[in-house]
Amino acid sequence: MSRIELLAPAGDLERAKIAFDYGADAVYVGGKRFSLRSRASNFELEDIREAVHYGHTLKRKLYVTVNMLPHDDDLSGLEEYLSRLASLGVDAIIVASISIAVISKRLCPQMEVHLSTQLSITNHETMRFYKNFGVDRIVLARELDIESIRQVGKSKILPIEVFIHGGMCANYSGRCTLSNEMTLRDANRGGCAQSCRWLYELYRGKDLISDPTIPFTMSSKDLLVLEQIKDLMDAGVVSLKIEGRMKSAYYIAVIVRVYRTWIDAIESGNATDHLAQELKRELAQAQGRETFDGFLSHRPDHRDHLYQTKSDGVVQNYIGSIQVVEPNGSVLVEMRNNVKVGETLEVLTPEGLSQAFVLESMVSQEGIALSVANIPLAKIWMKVPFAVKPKTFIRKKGESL
Amino acid sequence: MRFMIHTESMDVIRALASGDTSMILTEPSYSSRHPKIQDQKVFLDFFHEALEITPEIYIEINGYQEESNLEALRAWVMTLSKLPVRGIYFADPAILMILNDIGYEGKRIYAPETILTNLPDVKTLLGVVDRIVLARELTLEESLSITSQCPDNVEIFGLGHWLMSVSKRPQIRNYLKAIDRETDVLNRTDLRLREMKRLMFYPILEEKDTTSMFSSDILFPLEEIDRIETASCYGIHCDQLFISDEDFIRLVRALRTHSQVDLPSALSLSTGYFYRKTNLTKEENR
Repeated sequence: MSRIELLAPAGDLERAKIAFDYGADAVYVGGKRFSLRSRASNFELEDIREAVHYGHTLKRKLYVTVNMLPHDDDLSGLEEYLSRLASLGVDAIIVASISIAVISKRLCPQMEVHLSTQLSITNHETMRFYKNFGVDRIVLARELDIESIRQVGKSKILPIEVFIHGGMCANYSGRCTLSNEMTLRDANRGGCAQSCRWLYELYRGKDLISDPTIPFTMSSKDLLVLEQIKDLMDAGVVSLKIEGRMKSAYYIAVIVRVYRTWIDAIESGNATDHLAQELKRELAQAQGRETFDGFLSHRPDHRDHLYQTKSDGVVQNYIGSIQVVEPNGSVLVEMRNNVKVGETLEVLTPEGLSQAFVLESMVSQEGIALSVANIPLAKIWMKVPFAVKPKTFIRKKGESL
Repeated sequence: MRFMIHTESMDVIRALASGDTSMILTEPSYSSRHPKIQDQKVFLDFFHEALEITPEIYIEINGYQEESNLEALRAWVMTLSKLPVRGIYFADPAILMILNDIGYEGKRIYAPETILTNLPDVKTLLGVVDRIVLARELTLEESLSITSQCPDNVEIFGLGHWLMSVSKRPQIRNYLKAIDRETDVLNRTDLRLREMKRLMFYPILEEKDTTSMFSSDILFPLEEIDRIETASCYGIHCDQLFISDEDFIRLVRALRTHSQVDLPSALSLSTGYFYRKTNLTKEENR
């Protein structure tokens, strides 16, 4: 394992295994209760047990988010739940409620408690405050620049974790109730409707001052900090976190593999500009939005928002995941996006990208030959002219890869 | 129960100072939501003038503190701690650590805006501070259940446009730059957002370091004030931001006297989250 932790998200057991397979040192998942996005979670306790086992077999770690800001009605069964997580071997929980942190340390002192970015921790004095409650790690607010992170890290009061990739809140996480107000969905209990990304008119007094063709929005570009990873490692950060428990298995595979490759290259002295550019192009294969480096280099300016609904530079090359491999080279692909016979494809595996090949034929599960496959979730047989494994990903070859 | 008045108006302080009322003055250097008072000298002058009217004054420091500012923050907190105030409200626990370090003897009140939503958290934090202010997005039942179980240690938001979000990004200036429009927006209290599918106008305040967005309605729980008073709530916060002196004074007096005789008619008053649970899911929302 590398000296710095690469921490990846997973929304279900399959994605947790993929995150581990593609190079995550630790994976964080949400249970069915007490977690933001808990209603979208597919992690029953049995799945958590299996994810822990899978990770521990690889000498990796599994964390569980218990990060909602509960109202009193939400709290029944909490102590039993925490004890169950500890008994399953969960390495840490990620919390936003200070009483949950205290209860967990009392009941299960062996299970670490990491304090969520929801608490907007931006300095070492605030870390000193939370250390008094027994927490083991702090997830810093996303609003810090690299020098601030360096100073906080230098204090060595608690280990620090920072976000390096994925969606960004427009507001301080945990301090935003736009969703509560506009949809009665509590952002701090997993219901965020992303009202910050909606379109608004801006008035000064009675005068409309927004542009009708480019409405006001707070919508942020996504975070991507590949080029600052070494700075973060040198700043004393112990864990580099990827956002996105709702993201697809393909997204997780691509993003985790890229950061794994880059961290390993830094640690082995092989981090070149050429590799960085290649990896940035690879990250673009899975991006849903344009990206920027968050607050690391500067306070976000007008270039760091998404004022137009159409995103430039977003590619959709992903075709589907390989489910079954037959001895004759046929593979069964669960489709996500369109593909045509004659297109050039490649396979993404934990070891990297395969050689490119031309898709010569496709057959439906019913045995019908296809020239185009365009039904999401349909399962299609394809021929791949070299050995591949299940749980890998097939995509159109990117221009620069 | 006390009325905790957030204001930058001396006329409001003069009009509302009385035995059951405290003034909360937001310092300008490490806080948001102070559109009129922008520097420390002006703030200190304002404070001393207010002190001649009432001794019931608290100071609020409501920002999330940057590491690089901590030294200057500590010096400023020391200055503030020597003022004859009842206590200091803060959103970032860094302020508490500094107050503890310097042996501050006034009240230390934790007011983190959104995150105090349940009794166990409140009880845990009351082990290290004197009082707390609950999140605004609780129902009345939830709030009063907590206040009654922690008598005279818990405060709630009770009047004003409630804060919905705080951003460290200059949201308005960034947008205007993107559309290539130059307009003075800093510290203005007449900026409003209207979501495309809604009729409401949401006040938005752009300051040097933050952008804050607020509810369209004004929380005004006139019919609930009896229940709040009898539930051992220490105080209710009345925030003047975006409300004229005259209207604000009338609203506070109406709450104090439990009377709607002199209410301003043009304002959109509501009961906020008091009867609105915010636990819907995406599916339930359709």
